Amino acid sequence: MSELLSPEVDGATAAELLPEETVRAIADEIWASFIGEDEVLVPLDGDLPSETVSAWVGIDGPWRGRVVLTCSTSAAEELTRALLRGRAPAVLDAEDVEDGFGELANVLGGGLKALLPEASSLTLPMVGATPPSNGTDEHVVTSLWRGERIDIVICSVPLPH
Amino acid sequence: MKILVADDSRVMRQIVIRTLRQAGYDSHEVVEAENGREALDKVASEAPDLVLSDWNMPEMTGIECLRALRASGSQVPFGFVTSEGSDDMRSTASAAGALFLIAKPFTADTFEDHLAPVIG
Repeated sequence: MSELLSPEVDGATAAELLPEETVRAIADEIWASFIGEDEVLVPLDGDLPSETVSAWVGIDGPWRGRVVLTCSTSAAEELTRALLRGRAPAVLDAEDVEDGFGELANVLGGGLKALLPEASSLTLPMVGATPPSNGTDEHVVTSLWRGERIDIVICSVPLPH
Repeated sequence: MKILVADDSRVMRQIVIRTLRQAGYDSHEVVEAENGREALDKVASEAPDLVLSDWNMPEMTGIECLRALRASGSQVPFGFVTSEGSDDMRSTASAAGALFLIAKPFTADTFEDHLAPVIG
């Protein structure tokens, strides 16, 4: 398999391909554009509640990986409300949150994918309580947004043997 | 003036429409499509002056929609608004007849820069 990989990605871990500062720069840009000009992801640790929701996209190319966004269900709802700004209904239904939160992971995955050394494709976003199990090189970038912990997890997804 | 916004995410369609308003295109009529197939149908039924389309959608992708439009003889101005803005995709989009590719996240200024030459 390794001879099929490009020299840039052969053996590289998720953290080497997409270092923390790069992930934060992309996420900050998305937050400022879509969540709100004054909305920031603070690079601090916090408690992740027992009940969380994740949105993820796969990256398929010379490097195969996954970008996962995880937070509390209430934070996912607030993020969706922020995406919709004044057009959010008083009560958001589950479909709206799935759509908004999934789209956030999609834009994040797209931004990170564009920084990879070679052309790749992006899968459609998925949303659920439990994302697929992460690879051995799981790279976690933890932040706080409005006091809630938001995790961005990037990992390689090797082809099955 | 009529603008067709195609994206499988309802939330993203709302963001695109909001950004159109912020960029000064608030008097334009907007119609929506949930995927490339619906966009293809609505170009025929709604005759929009511009199509703003996501790339990666179920049923029919944005690039498949654009190729189908051009194959059918439609020359409707078409631009992508997508989370994937690589050089490779930009050249693929351009070769298929797209006027521009706006990468997400975007701002009202980005919309104005790309749309002004097309719809004023």
